[in-house]
Amino acid sequence: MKIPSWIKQVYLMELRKIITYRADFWVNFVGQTIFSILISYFLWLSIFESNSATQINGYTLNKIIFYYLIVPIVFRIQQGETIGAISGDIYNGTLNKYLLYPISFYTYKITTYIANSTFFFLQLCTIALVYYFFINTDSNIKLSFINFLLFSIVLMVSSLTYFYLNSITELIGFWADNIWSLGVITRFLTRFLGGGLIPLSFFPIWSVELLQFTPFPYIVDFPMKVFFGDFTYVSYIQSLIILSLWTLLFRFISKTVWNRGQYQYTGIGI
Amino acid sequence: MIEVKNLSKTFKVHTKEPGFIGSVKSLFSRKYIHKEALKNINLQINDGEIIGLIGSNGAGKTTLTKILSGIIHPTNGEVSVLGFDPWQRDNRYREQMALIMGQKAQLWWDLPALDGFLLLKEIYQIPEAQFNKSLDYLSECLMIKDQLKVQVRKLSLGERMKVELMAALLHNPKVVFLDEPTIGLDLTAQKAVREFIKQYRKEFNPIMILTSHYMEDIEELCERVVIMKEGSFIYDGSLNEIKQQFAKTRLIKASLNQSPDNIESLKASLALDDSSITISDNEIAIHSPREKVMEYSAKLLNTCSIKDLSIQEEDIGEIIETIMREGKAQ
Repeated sequence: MKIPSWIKQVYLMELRKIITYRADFWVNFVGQTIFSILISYFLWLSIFESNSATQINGYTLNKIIFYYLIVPIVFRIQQGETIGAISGDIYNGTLNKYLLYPISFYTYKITTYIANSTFFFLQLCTIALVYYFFINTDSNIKLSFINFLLFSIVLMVSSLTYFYLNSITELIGFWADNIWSLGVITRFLTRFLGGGLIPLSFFPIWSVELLQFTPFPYIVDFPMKVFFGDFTYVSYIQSLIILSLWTLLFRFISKTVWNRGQYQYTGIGI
Repeated sequence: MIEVKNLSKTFKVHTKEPGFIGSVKSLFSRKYIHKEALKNINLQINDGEIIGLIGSNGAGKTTLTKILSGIIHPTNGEVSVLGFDPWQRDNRYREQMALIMGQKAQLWWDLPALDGFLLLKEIYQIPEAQFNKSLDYLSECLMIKDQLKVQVRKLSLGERMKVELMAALLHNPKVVFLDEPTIGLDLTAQKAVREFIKQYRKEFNPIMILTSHYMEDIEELCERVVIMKEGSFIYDGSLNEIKQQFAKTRLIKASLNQSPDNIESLKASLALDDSSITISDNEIAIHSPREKVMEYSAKLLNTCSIKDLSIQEEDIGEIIETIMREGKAQ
């Protein structure tokens, strides 16, 4: 299938836009990494020391720090743009231009989303390699090229899942005057219930079982398991199918909300 | 061709009582009012025609433009532009249409205009040769060639409007909606934009709908005007017809070699009342009924020693303002 040339152009243009603000790019990259390492190191060091343990719920100190280094970037890849990327277009009338162009609004937004994620993905690769080869002392952590490829695939699908999930809350902007809080809640719930704040293996078993009926573990916990190689090929395929089904469901809801919402649109800002 | 039949648009707007208690109340229950932005509009615009849409704020001009361009959905009525229903947003329609919004930038703020043009080339599938030709033609006409590589956010308001015009016209649209293209621009920039639109129209002859609060824009560019008030059309016809129909008087201005000896006898000989004649120093101004212009001019020439004489049409802006105020031209 040939990708329309405008998609490539949007993708490249979005990359150029990100590079335009290079100070922000580097501060974001370096700052976030250093903070993640420091916070997780001191917090978990004290937890491990107070328990006099070398391993808690399957995690060594090295692995948990690695986890907290990678998980915020995974989340940033999935988030793509910030909250308000679509609702902002509705509120200030910039949606008008997308409605005028002979292209799909969704395809345009997904392309800019992927462009934003690309940089975060490069950050992830850099940090993962540096940590694995120069900082990590845990011989049980084994990264492999195949696992990383499988991780990249699941990351791509989960990013799409989150895009559609987030777009539903953003599109509520057609009716509500402000969806900021809703965006924050969606982000927090996905992160917390997906294991982005505390790994799911630290949750009570009954809650983990219950969460399997929600999309959240498939968005955050599943990619992290694949990253560390804690999976079987059967569980990988199963989880990928479930994640894809959630993606299709969110896509359907999002498109329905979009179709209805357009009738509410007033094009304010002209 | 554009055809609009019995078009109406009603917006549902929520209201809120003032003060803190009003804000708290609105958390639990909201009151809505229905605002009729367009009321049973009928309009036909032929190929190649340009019309000026005039009306005070809230008259419904922008709502009509948004419906015609497919941005918002009409409540009732039928709309057909180039044979398409704009709301369906058929790509074949969108490829032939452009909307220029004076108050809203369409180009990518953080990048040079040229980057935005390259994207538009791909979006509208403009062949390379045609793109280069359009780019050269538009940038030369608008005298903006050396600013195309500057970040849009760093351009002046006038330059920004020019690159916005370029962006909207690169694909050579057959219908162009211009929503206040000269708003906020200084006189030189306004004139440049007007000249460009005139030239572009001569060259490509698209259907154009121009919304503007500046009468110079309308007078210079439009043969036909539609005046709107509170969602309805109160006048649809040519600018000349407005002058014929509503400009009841003309202004005769005379500079005298010396002040008249007897103002009262001059007034008496012209048979004018005080309100239609103003005499100050060596100047006389007479608001004359159209049919009496020749008679009064002759009398002036016979009665006074005239240095200079001019006959002026009533200001079109004032006529339109009166029509809008009275709201019953049709």
